[in-house]
Amino acid sequence: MHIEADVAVIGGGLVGISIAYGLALQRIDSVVIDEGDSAVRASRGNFGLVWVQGKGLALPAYTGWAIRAAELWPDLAQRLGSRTGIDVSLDQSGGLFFCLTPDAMEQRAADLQTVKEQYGAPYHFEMLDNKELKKLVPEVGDDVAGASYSRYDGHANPIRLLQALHRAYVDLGGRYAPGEGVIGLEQRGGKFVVRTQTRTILATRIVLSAGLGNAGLGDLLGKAVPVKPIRGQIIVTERVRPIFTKAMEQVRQTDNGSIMIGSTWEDVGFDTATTMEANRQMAADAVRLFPILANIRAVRSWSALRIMSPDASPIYEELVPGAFLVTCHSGVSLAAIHSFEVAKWIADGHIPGSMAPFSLSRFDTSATLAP
Amino acid sequence: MVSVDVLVIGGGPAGMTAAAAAANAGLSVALVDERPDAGGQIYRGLESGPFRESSALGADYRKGAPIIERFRSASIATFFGAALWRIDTDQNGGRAAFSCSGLHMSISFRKLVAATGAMERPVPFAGWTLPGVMNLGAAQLLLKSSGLVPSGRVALLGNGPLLLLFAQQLTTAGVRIGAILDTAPPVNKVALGLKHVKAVLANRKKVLKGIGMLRAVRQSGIPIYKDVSDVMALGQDQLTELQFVSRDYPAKLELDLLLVHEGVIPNTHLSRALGCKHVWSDSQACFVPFTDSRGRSSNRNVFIIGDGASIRGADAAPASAEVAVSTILSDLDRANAKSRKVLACALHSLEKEEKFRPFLDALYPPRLAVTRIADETIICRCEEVPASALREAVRDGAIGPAQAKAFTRCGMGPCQGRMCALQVSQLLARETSASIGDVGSYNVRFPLKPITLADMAASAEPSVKDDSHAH
Amino acid sequence: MFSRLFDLPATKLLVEVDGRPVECTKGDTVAAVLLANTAFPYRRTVVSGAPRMPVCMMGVCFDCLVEIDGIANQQGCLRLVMPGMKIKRQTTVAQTLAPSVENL
Repeated sequence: MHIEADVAVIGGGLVGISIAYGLALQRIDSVVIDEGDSAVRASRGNFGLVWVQGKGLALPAYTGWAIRAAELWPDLAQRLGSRTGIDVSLDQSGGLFFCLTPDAMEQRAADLQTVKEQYGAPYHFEMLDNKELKKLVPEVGDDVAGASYSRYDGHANPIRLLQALHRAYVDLGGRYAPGEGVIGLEQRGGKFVVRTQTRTILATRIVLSAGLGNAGLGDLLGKAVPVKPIRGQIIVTERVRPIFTKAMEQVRQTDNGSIMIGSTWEDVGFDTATTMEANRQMAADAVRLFPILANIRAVRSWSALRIMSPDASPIYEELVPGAFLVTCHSGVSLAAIHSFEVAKWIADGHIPGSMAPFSLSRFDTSATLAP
Repeated sequence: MVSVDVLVIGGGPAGMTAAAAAANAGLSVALVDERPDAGGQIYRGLESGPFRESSALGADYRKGAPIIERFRSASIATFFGAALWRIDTDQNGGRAAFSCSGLHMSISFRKLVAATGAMERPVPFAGWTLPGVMNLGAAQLLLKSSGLVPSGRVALLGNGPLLLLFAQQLTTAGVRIGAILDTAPPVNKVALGLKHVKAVLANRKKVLKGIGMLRAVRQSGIPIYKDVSDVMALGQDQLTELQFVSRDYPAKLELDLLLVHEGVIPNTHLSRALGCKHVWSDSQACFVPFTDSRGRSSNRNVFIIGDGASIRGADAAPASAEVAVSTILSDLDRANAKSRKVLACALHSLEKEEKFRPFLDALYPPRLAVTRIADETIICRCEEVPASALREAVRDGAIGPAQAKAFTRCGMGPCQGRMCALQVSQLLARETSASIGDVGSYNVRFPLKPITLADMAASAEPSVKDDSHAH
Repeated sequence: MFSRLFDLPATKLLVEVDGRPVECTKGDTVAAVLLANTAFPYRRTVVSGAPRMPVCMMGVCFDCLVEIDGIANQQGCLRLVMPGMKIKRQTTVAQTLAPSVENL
């Protein structure tokens, strides 16, 4: 089957579909190419946080980018709601990152202070000890040292976000070609020829938003894309009446009442198994954080692979003219900025100053000078 | 941590036979079952229920007595009433985590025998979630374990040997059955018998028994409606009326209890959670775990036996267990002349039972359960998701069960897809014009049953190797 | 909907269903006791409050969820009755929680 499009977006997860939606808003024709149901899909693993605090520790430009991304979110939620009827349950009333021990508190405070100083502009965060934390979240356990609180943070329903973006994209005339991954990619006569098992897509521009698959796509273009999988395990519980309203890093109540507990940070390649040890540790930490959860039942545990760049920050790069690489591990947090500003970059072909620091070239490290 | 040669999951006829056979051959064996006593479903109540000494339920029920006896006399570490939540496997075997009587246990094993049996095929139709609609097998379990019988206006809907057996058992117990609604499409039984003549002749006793049950039902005077379809259960907060079509004519009944049965299918929850390969069986219209002729799954240390591997009935269960255990003895270099003889015998019995199956499958096919499910009918009971939501999810780009589940919450409730998986796969296959084998089924994850966070945490294991840092 | 074929034997015992005493016997499951005593509806769903009753009696359908001795969401078809057991039907959404949360 032969398809022609102005832009071929390779990868239909949150990143790809946000961009495709953004292109459609600018009336740019595109087709989204997506693998099948059983592919490794980070979007289904996503915890749902719309997060700012802590970002930019390794790459200072990420701090302002994350703040802007959070600011743009309500607009995205409203547009999606009115076009599709789907409520993505955005709640941006601040977020907490728990520190179980005094050492963890100290480390966290130091990290956030570094982020603030690097950012150089007003940046809000507070370190709350157990007593102050209890004022915000009374259910917190007695032996939790405290938490960092940021008013920029929030959460949403990541699956409804994916569904809403998809529906909005199709409603705006977007085309979706699922079920087959890319097996061939080349340039011919100023166009890109993308091949899957049964389809050939001819496009003027392509977007590489295939998550971990971007490495393979990069190879096809002769470019190295430094992404690697970092496994995160998650546990979800049965539905429970509303207890927690705040967005919280390690334990979060969803809009349907179930409580999500996460997550690990494991360097295990492409292994998507869960482990008994992680289950035990996460359950124990959750009960330590919130003793009332002791008799609430976990119904499922799973793992997802984060798409991790060397500095845990996004990469935005025009790999070869017309081929736009977009990779991050915060598909939910950055959904709005991807739909609006990143899609604009792809439409215009000029990278704005705010995005230049995310170039791949930052990884072509200059030679270390011997001391 | 305890270590055994063989861990058996499930204490029905297959599991009990496997555990006893392995123990009697000198292997160390443990058996775990979530039920409080032995017998599984078919021999429920045979250890301590009201019919344990009685012949009122028929001769087939009593066949379980020697199996239980042999099991209880063997040297097996048994854990009944256990909540198994996770099993991890590796090339040396694996490890199972469960709690039992308030204790948290971990057993490592060299070989796993999964004997978790079958479940009744879910049969969705309009109103099927109303109180008053129940599986027929469930009502039979209530009879076997507690001596409970339906009272009020009761009808049996569906088809299959279990339906006939239960009708007979209820009648013997003096229960008046209001009607039998037979959903089997009209089929020429004689022609079918001729088509499967070899299997029929080899299993004459079974066939005669079946004919006997049919005759008993006809002679009982219970009204029988044939060729039933288009079923709708109605009522405010419980069932009061059933509308349906029989032989193309609309009909209705006032009812208090509707017992539904369109056969059984393997309960693949554990086998899927273990990562075993599954395949679609056209003849049984369900997914079954892949097993070779010895019951070995795609994981070389995991054997799947009994109805959990494929529906072959109670008589095949012990044979499949003996086959697997003989193979395990070979694996562990403990085979001898005796075990080889047992293997040959058991393979022969199993073959006989397996040859009879296609005839039964053709005689008693599911019908309501494979009809296109109406938009308004609930497909996921736990999350109350109607079929229309799934069709909408397909339009939103969900081409497979995992994505469909993500978009609709189908399969995310406490049962984790046990009740809806097959129906969802059937629906997706129809909506995407794909073969159901290609569509596949939900990914099943641990915990196997909901487990409290306190129980999950209850261990002295050190923390996971973890490089947490802010992101 | 269900009645007992036999009189309760000598092993009969007393449990509490929603605070009232109910006679049953050793070997009964919690689900069987509720069905035998027409405690209606057996439960209401978390999502919409729709009435339900157990469907499979073998641990698969999860429509038999019930609170036993203060802990919610247990499968009633898998638990045998014990003397003095306190059984509470889950007929409101708040009852999906363990009392430790309710008592906040």
